[in-house]
Amino acid sequence: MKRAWIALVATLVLAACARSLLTRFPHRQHLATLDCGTEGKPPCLSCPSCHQAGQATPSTPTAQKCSGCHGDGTQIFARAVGTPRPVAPTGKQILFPHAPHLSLSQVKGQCVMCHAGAVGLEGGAPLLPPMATCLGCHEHEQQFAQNVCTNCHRKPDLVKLEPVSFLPHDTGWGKRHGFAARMSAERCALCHTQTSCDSCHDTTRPLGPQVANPNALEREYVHRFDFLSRHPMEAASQPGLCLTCHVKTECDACHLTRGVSATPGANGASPHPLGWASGLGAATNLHALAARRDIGACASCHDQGPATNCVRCHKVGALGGSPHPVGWRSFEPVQSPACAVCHGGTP
Amino acid sequence: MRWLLIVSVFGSSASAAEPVWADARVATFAQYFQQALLPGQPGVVGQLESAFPVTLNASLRFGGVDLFGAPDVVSGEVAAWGSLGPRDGRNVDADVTSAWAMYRNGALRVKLGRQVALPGASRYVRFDGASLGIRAGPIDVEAYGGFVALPRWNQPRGATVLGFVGDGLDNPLLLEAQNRAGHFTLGARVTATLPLEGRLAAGFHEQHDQVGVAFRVLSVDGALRPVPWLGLGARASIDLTSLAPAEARAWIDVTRLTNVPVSVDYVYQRPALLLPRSSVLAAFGGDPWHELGAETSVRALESLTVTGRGAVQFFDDARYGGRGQLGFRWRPVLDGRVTVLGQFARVLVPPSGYVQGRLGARWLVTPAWTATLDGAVYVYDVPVRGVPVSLTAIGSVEWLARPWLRAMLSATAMRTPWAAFELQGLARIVVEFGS
Repeated sequence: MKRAWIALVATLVLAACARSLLTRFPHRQHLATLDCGTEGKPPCLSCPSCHQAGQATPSTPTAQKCSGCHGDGTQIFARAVGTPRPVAPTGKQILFPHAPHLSLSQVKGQCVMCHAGAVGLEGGAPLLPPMATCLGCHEHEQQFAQNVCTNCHRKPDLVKLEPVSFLPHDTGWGKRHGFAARMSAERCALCHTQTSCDSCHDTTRPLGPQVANPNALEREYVHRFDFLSRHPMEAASQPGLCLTCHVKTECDACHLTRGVSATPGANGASPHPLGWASGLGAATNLHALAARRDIGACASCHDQGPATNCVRCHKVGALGGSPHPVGWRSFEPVQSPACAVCHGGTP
Repeated sequence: MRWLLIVSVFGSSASAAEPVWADARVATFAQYFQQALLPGQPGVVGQLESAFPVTLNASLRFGGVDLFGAPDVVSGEVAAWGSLGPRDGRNVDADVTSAWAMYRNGALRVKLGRQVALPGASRYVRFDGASLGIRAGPIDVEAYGGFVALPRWNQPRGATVLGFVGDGLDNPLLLEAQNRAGHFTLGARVTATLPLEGRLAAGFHEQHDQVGVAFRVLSVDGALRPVPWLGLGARASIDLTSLAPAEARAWIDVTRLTNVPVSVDYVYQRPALLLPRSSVLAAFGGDPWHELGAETSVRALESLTVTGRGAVQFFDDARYGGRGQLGFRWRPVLDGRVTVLGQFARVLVPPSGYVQGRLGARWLVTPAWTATLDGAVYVYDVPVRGVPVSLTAIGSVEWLARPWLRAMLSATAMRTPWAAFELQGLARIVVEFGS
């Protein structure tokens, strides 16, 4: 058994180390370290030596290019390049005319000014420059600040792209995407619609996103898998978090039909143990502790306005006394409906 | 045992003709399944009912429209869904989720219609009304107001058709008396753009329901990136009716090591103040809770990313809780042909909690065929309905028949405390028209 585990781990590690064919070609060796240009040596190479210039996107070289110097060019090509792949995956191609950029004074005709990865770590850094490279130019900085993306990106592509360099949706993003949306809703709107927000936040939709998209492997849907069993634990773990999308009537509607609601007249069984709210000071009287910790959980069943059974006892002069915590302040008039339940008669 | 079949057809089209453009998307779901009130009322055997609704989702987004001689100043979005066929005691159901048009000219923007606001109280408010924004240099001011959107026009907010609510929603004694007139909201937000990618904002949000003031919240938030590898942010919401903080968050993002980004965050919430002020129970106060968490993703290898999250919660009644998760994403080939995900999570919510294990994989078999398999097991500290373990698995096969046409078949199998065996099937067809 132990050997099987070792074999499994070793297989995983070896497979993880397998390098992509995309960047296996030794660019650095050909461009920077090749002994060239002298008598008896091959001519020095530049990027256009292999990548056909004059196109919007320079081409991927063919085996014939390798054969120009190498006797076994076809085999070398198959080993080093393999099946030619698109320069950029579908959806990530940008509207980028190479020729005018190469003629810029900052670039000086050198492809590697942007494609630094070509002479960097072989098989490591991507050959495609990150967007930060583009934003090094003053003109593109301005466009970026004005949320103008369509000069470089095709509009239909925007919804398929993930911002990896300037607004990475990775570590901790799930917790703060709402903050980013508040800060710059316009930027979000470049790729997302209000409907895309609604797909998760609008709980009135008949089909949840986790049901409609079961193949979305990397989406961390909150309600994926057996959420029904987990929901009391999730609610208790981070009290109040459910209220981001849900409101208390939803809880009650479901609890009522499942017979765990204390709603008067619902014929539901109390989910609480014996002595839960009786016997002042008794060891089984734990409802106050639970309520202090998460009153939202109580509200999921008990919040029926004036009919709320909590305020039958928790009012001035009654057994439960004032419900307000120490330091409670409110600027609402006592005649307001919520206050009037105890302080001013029924609303 | 429950069977669920969903057939859906998506369609989208985009007209790239500038300056006017439009994106439309239509999604149709046809479902058939047996539903039952599980576990049902105590002592009652649930009755199985057949449901076969057809649901249509449609959305349209447009922009680049000229108005009064000003070019490219009007944009907008409309989205709605409708359902036909028996489900949850209804045969017809529909709602409009967004319908707005925006005029933007220079520093001025006006947005009219059904839209959403993201007030500082971390809520997500949909309303029918107007918002007005003005930008003057680094300062941006936005104000909004309107009637809070109620599901199906006049149902209580959030009283969504959950699939089994039945009589509970029809008995007026069980609900707050509500009508649309009393549900209105208004608010404003001022944002200042600062150097070093900094932003500082303050907002006010007030929301009423039929009973009275539901939320009256002042919020402040800010973010700063003093150096390129360090991001700081914080926000807080103060309930103005009780002059107490309802919620606060702060975080630090460190990307000094690009392959090991680290994020640390702190959360404070007082659940009672997240209830509407009109709730009697909000007057009980309750204890706040604190959470301190951290998250990191380590790119151990070119193809392997390991993500770890951990958080500990402190409740003011001296109890504690915790959440931890360790996961990996392995892409042995850079073009994403194969992706393997694994997760192990532990959640402590004394006296309960659970352990989760998950393993999923996606395999681009050929450029046209993709298969996914995703499974999870949950082991509960305290058995749920006497059952300590849940097993779930989802499998799907997707076929990219044409660049504009793809189809998917999936099946979900579950063994949970609520069903000895549950099987769901889903079929989906996606059609995209042009671009």
